Amino acid sequence: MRHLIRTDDFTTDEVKTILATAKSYSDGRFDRILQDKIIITLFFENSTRTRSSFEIAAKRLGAEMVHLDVSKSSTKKGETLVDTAMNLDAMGPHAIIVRHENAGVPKILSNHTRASIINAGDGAHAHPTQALLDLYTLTEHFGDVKGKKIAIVGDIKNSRVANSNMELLTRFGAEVVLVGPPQFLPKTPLYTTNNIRDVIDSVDAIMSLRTQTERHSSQNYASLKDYASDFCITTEVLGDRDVILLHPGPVHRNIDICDALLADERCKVLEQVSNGVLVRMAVLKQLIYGI
Amino acid sequence: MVVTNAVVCDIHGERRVDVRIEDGIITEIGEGLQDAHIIDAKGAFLLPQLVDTNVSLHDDVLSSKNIKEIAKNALKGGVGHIVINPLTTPALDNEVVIEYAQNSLHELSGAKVDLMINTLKEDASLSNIAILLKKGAVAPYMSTIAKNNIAIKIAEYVKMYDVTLFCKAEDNSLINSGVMLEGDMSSRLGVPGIPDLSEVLHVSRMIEIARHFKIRILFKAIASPRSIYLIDKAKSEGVDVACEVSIHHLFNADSACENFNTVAKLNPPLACEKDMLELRQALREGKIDMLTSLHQPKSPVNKEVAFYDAAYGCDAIADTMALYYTKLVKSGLITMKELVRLAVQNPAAAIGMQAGEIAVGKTALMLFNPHEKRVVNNPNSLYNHQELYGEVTIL
Repeated sequence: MRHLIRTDDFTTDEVKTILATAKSYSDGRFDRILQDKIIITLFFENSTRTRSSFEIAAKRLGAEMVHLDVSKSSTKKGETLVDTAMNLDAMGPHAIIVRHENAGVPKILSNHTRASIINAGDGAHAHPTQALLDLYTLTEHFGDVKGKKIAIVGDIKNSRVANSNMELLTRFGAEVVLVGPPQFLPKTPLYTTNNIRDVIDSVDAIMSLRTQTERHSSQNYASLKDYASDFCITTEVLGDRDVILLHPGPVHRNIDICDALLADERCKVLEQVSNGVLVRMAVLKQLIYGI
Repeated sequence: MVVTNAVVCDIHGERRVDVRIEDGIITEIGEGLQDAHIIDAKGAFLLPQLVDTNVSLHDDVLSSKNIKEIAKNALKGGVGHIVINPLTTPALDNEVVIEYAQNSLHELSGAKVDLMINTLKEDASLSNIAILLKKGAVAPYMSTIAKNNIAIKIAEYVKMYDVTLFCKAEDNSLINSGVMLEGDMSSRLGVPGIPDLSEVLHVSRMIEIARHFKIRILFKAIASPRSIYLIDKAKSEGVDVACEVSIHHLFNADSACENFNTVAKLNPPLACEKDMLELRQALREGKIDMLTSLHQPKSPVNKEVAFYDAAYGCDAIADTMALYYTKLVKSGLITMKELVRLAVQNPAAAIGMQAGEIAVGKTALMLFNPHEKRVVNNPNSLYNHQELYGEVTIL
């Protein structure tokens, strides 16, 4: 059984298949190939949109969903993650969609299940379906991301979205550059800068991130306002350049992106949300139904 | 009995002589010794048993069961004398707990067990260091989470009692914000990291305290080559400092945490590949004073959880001698004589004892046959499925 823990669990050809399948669903088609399949959502961390996106994707494919509300403390009551995995797996689901505040939890579960584990975000580690939908959105816009320059802006160090996109987008030939203050930049071979204006004239797309205040164990910035004074994507920064704007959501208005740009047609945030359902349908099909 | 044909190796080097041992004590060393009970140890080494001053109890729980277990396991690994870390539950920082623990040390079979005391209480104030040392604890321990006013008082106690201060260099605010070394690997795994500055900053600070008070400080389980550099430099200026490094930090980098392998979650965290190689080079150059198995055994309930939540530590002590031999001596990194200095003489000296010599009157010996090999079968070991050389027979 295949799992999707990180973007590199899929070969380049498999990713291409997923993009093509997602495209085929873009006419709003329902394809009930997962009838009689059971999918569990196991969310240790709150999420409205990712969970809904997966649920809508699964329902459009005809699968049955079981939601498990796992309080954060349940694993602290003497049960290991291995116990949790084996117990759920014993009930015979076809896939388990997992989100956890800590990096690595889906990986540990996948070592002990027959069901496909799909990572819906783990700590600052990976969020593979988000990166796939970002690649899909960029590909839809540019035709091909090869040779395109994409700036990821914000709290990259604490972002699973950035981590997954750095792997996937560079694999597809995009040039990824990282923009943020030093304390938000990871150690990486990619080009990094503290100043958005260093790259604004050469980028084709900007991916703004949400500042992950909940993943900071100590104060990293004086205030969000102080952060935004350098890293908020504003009309003033962007001007009339032909650059598209992405954000994994939820957008922190006037901290990540200004109000005016959110209403601008260069902003693809809602397209990303629609594409999320298509890409997740394609991922479920690939993992559960096989192609 | 008489052991014949063994390579007798101690801090003075290797020689081929017969050794007569009666009731565990060497009574005669010479050639052609006769006895009714002769052990032909051809191909094996006759060595002093190892001393390890950085050993933790199972899940850090202080109980007589755990002490019995560790004494037995240590001897399997050729470690004849261990010092228990004081960060136990309950903590070794008061008279009642010390007495309770001392009572568990009677009639132990296996390695000799000694206790280290925490100079800090839970609230980071001073424990009754004078009383605890007089109750038989062999060494005082201090984490550098101690503020300067407290660290200075501890230095004065250490001076008065003429003992070595076992110091864990770490920064309170930094160790609480991460669970592995901050670097490429932690970025890739999305796991919060601890910068190596956490250790280096406090090594530098404690060197100044050692210099000022003219006390001996032993830095426990150093993980950064920069710390070794600072310690080496201080030594050359006459400051009485020394460092211990674990076998794990010499042969495992933070890449061992790949796939969220919680067995590789150690305290201090494993260094990056480059630093690991620099640590090995420091060992080659004689800049490391002693070795430890850094035995920190943990139950599955504390390990089979998210990397962030998992407890620090791995199993090691029962494989100590085989690990040291395979990784250090067989590979040609150091000689057996140097190993005896690093794993017997120096750790013993740090707790005020003499060991490492094979001479009439000495005890605590083992035979080590380096030709026997086996595959480690222990999922809690960093060396699971690896082939190790050597079999220990306690004499």
